[in-house]
Amino acid sequence: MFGKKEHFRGYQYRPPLQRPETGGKDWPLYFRFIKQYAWPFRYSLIVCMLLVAINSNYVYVISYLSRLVVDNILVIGGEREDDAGQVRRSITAADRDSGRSPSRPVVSMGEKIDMGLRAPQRPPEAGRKLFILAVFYMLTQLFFNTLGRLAARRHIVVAQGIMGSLREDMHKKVMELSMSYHQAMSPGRLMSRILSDVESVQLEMMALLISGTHCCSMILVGGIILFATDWRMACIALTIMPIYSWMYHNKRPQIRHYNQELRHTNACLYGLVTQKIDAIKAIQAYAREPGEELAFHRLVACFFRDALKVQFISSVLGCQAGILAHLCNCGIFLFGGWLVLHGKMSLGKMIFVQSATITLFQPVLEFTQLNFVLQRMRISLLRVAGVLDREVEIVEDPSSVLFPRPIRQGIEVRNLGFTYPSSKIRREADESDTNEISAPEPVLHDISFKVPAGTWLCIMGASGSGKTTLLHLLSRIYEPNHGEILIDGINLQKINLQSLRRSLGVVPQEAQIFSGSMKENICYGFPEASNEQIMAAAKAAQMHDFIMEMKTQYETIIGQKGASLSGGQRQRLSLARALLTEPELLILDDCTSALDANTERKIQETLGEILQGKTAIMVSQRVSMAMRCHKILVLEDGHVKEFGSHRELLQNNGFYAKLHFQQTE
Amino acid sequence: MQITPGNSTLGNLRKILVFMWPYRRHLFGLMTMTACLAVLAIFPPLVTKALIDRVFTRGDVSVFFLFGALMVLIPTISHLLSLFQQVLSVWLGQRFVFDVRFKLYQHMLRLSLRFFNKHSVGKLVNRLMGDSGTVQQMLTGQSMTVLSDLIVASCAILATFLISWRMASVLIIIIFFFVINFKFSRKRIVDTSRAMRKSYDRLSGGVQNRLVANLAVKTFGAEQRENLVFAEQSEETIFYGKEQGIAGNNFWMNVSLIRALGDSIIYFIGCAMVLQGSLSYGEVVAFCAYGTQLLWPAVRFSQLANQLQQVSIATERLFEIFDEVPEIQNDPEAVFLPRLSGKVDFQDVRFHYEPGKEIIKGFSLQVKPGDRIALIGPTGCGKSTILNLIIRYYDITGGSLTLDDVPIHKLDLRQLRRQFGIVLQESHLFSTSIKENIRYSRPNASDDEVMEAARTAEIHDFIMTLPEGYDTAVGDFGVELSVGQKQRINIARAICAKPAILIMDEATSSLDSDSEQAIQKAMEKVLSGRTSFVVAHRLSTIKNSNKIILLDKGHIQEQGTHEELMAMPKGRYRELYTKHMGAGVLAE
Ligand SMILES: Nc1ncnc2c1ncn2[C@@H]1O[C@H](COP(=O)(O)OP(=O)(O)OP(=O)(O)O)[C@@H](O)[C@H]1O
Ligand SMILES: Nc1ncnc2c1ncn2[C@@H]1O[C@H](COP(=O)(O)OP(=O)(O)OP(=O)(O)O)[C@@H](O)[C@H]1O
Ligand SMILES: [Mg+2]
Ligand SMILES: [Mg+2]
Repeated sequence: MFGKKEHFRGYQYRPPLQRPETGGKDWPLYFRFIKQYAWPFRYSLIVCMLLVAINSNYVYVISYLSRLVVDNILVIGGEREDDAGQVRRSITAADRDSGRSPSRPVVSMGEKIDMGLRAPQRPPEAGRKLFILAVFYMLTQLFFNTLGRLAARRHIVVAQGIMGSLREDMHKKVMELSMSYHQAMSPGRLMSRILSDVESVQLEMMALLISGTHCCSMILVGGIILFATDWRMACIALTIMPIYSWMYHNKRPQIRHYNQELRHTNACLYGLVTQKIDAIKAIQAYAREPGEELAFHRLVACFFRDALKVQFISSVLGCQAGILAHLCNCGIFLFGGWLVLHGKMSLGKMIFVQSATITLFQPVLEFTQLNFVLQRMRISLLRVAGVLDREVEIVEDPSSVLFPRPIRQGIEVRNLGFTYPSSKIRREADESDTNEISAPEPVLHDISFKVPAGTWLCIMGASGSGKTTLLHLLSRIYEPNHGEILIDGINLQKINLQSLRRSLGVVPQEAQIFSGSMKENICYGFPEASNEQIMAAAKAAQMHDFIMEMKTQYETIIGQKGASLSGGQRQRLSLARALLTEPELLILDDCTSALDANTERKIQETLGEILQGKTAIMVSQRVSMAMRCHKILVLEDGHVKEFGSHRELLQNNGFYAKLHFQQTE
Repeated sequence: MQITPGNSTLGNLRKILVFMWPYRRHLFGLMTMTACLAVLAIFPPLVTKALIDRVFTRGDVSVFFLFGALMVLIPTISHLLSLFQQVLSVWLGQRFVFDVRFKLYQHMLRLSLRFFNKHSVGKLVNRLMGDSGTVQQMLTGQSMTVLSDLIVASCAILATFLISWRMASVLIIIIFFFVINFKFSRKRIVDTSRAMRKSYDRLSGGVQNRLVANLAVKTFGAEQRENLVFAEQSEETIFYGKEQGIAGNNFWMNVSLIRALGDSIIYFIGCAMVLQGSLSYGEVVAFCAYGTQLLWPAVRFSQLANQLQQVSIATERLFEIFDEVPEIQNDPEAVFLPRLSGKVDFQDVRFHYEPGKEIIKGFSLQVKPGDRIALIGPTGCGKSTILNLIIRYYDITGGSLTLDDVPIHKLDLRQLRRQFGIVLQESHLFSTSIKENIRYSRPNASDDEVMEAARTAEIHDFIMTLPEGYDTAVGDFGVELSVGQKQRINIARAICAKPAILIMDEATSSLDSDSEQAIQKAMEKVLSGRTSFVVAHRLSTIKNSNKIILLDKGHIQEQGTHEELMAMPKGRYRELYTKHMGAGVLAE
């Protein structure tokens, strides 16, 4: 793309970067965000911008004051033979190395340049005047410093405020978004949306507003001063400035290209490392460390190369620009000096022009980089907006009713059909996508059954037949594509979501453990539970005795992802959590798969007591569980294959009968 | 983790230097260039001064071009030199990060499970990626600035004393004010930024928790509660963010105020001395120029001192991991057995995760090559733990464990692990294609072998229904699988390893008994001639094992074949078997 050879980046774990189309400006989006998040702070923001605008011109005021000192009090420098006493001198030149650190808007007082000392004609009471001026000078410094302080304070408050409200909105939205989105976006990526993207939106937005004001004000005032002082020298500056900004402008695509690649590699590195550390058990089990090292090495090397490249380009650019700025400076100084020597210009004027020009370089450069900032903001904003504008699949019906407690008639499922959304749809616009995956197959076809109130249904079937999916639909984690689920004749979608969630007790197939204490984990669904209730739930899940054996009992901290618990203990913890909420409808997804037969039987027995008269829908692979249920439903490839009671199905001589035979001989 | 700054900083510095040692020549070159640059920086003000003094003031036109040329030339040279300096310093810095990250990753992969159970993934990733970057910035960026500042400042001090010692003392007093400001602001800055970090960590930890266990959040309808918690934490973070920002801002504005006032004081005192006639204006100007050169480093040092704090924390956190000694060490004189026969000997093996809570209490078992061992027992009795010991995820704490008559810690660790085919209790897939996932246990397995393994694990048919068959990506960037499907891919992976010893921890717990039996039948061939350890809860699946071990609370309660155990009239196994395989109770 840029002539010079591009190195190889197509490594495993580094899908090619999908570049968002550049140049798009998305003004409506920006306005929306500014309106939504910056508008509440408008007064603070305006005050802040005003302060910054005033504060930017500090340099000019200060240099004017020093000029007064030299010209009116010390009266340094004398008349040349030809122009007696008329030479006005300014003595402030901008800090020489301000060109080296263009990123920071440093306002420097600059160094004083010797004007020589010839034939002073000082005014009377020079000492007193000098003293007054000195006080005034320092007061000015103090004044501007205070302004700057206030501006920065406002800035901080506004920036944090914007970030806070945006972050909260993001979090709210992410919590609302459906399971399919969560599955497509790993926790790590969602985290970076909520935390770092939001932060960068805020940073860039503020940078845009504040440094925009700063630059405009400096360039405007500086330009006027320049032209008012001497238009010829101003013209020299005016010819150099565009070259200078053009140089930056020219290299920008290249720098951006490498920067994007670099950031992408970095993101991939994070992803790789997260995934691998997560899988450390598997890696060590097969002694695959060398292979993993190689994969990591490749990506780090890729990062290294791009980092070097981008830094090299910007160093060269910085060097060129530095030399150019310096030449401009020398040009004005020497050309002006030449004029002064020939008596065509005053020294003070010359030096004042020079100082004003140098001061101008920094805002001009910053101004040309504003577009860059805008692009960065656009990318983060698009990512944030991608989350905020995503449609929520599970929406609350405005005319929703409460969950019928207790359930009187029962649950009816009619012609339920479901297809998982294709992964393409789930993905974010700016994320790299693997090749097109054809439309996914439906997982459930035309399922219909009835569970009368107070009875239990056991769903059985081969792995991958759609049992978990069916339970997800019943607990409204996903929305069915067609068909409906009725609870006491009310469509599930018409039930208030909060009351639905409160009335359901769901035990997922893979136990979800929070890092925290045992107690926190159990009472997650019902934080106000009393200790007795918590213990009762733990006892029902056959967890109590184990917990009491530990030193700190219910306050024991569970390690990362429950690593210090055995598989069965994790499962029972998750069961206890669901039982604690005293659900109206219990949904169990194979919650005893990791338990031994004895414990399982105990749990089955306690469940039988607790669930007396309650409705339950459960998935199980064990016939012993199915036998306790009133009705059994066998799924096969998403179709209802068999449905009936234990006896009926045994006579049916199908899947269930075979299972029964296998498990009991 | 406790961070004790101060005494260990020096030690950490030494450790960093170890990383820099291979690049000592580059480092030396970099330092020389920096020094040259610093010395060059002394000349431009002198040239300007001379130009004004001699040319403009005294009208000495003859040297105008000479000084003009110098004025153009010196900064140009220094710009070019600084280009080289920057490129070299960037190279060094990136190289350093590269080395540190790679070595750290290498080291991390070798650390033991106990370590990973203690630290969250997010934290480790931050160490690996974040802290190394922080250290690098300090190392190449700031240290060179310090060097050049030191040189510039010492030259400037010398020059000021030469011009006027009285004004030089004023300058020193001003510098003293920087120190006072630093002393006063430091505590507040450090405190607020620490508080900020802490509350930010809490915030992000909370978010991570909620995202990882999102299914639970959803099913319990806890979204609004979590939003409130988040809002609260976010509020706190914002509060500390503001505090930190304002503390930093106060400090920074103080610095610039001191600098501005200091500049003006020097300037006006100078001017007053000019009025008295005790100093020439040229000297005042030169003095101010050098004053700037002296005050800038002072400003930067105060800034630096704050960053130094961060860097020393980052370094400590880095080396905290580097210093972590892998618990499982490869014996330097390890025996390298190309292929195990499958003989495993447990002699009174004892083990605990935490001292004082023994999990395995005297476990003895002789396993002949080709034996099929089944471990059963109530949950939490230590079945997975025994398998962990064979894989050597943990070292035994008592007794002896030998494979082919060699103690396990005398075997080459990696060679040992390559001999196993392992299905862990929680199945795990990497986000690549299914093929790569199966092949993970033996990267050089051919496609046919992969398919063979998949057929044995009864997953081949399902894979073929996927749009891209074996090349379908799973996980993060691909399709989601059901729990049973993941389990079967894990079984295929273990089979694909062609292991000497097969270890399966409830590998079929989520499968229906139909597929389970199909897999068992298919596995017959794989199992023949191989030692296998199987943990299972469904008794029907382990009936034809050579030896069934009934574990209870870390000891063996009963052992023998199915028939032997059934023959024991009052045996626990017999009781279990008849109880659970007999007819159940109908709840109708
Ligand atoms: N990393 C760990 N740190 C501390 N304790 C642990 C750790 N892993 C397991 N334990 C404890 O050791 C005991 C035995 O655990 P283990 O995983 O071996 O049980 P298990 O027999 O496999 O049970 P299950 O059938 O439920 O999987 C349990 O009480 C568990 O809490
Ligand atoms: N989030 C998802 N996105 C896309 N496809 C999915 C998703 N979850 C499951 N599937 C697919 O849908 C089918 C049914 O999956 P489901 O999890 O319902 O099976 P299951 O009956 O619960 O199986 P198991 O007994 O193994 O848990 C499987 O083929 C699976 O690959
Ligand atoms: Mg399932
Ligand atoms: Mg286990």
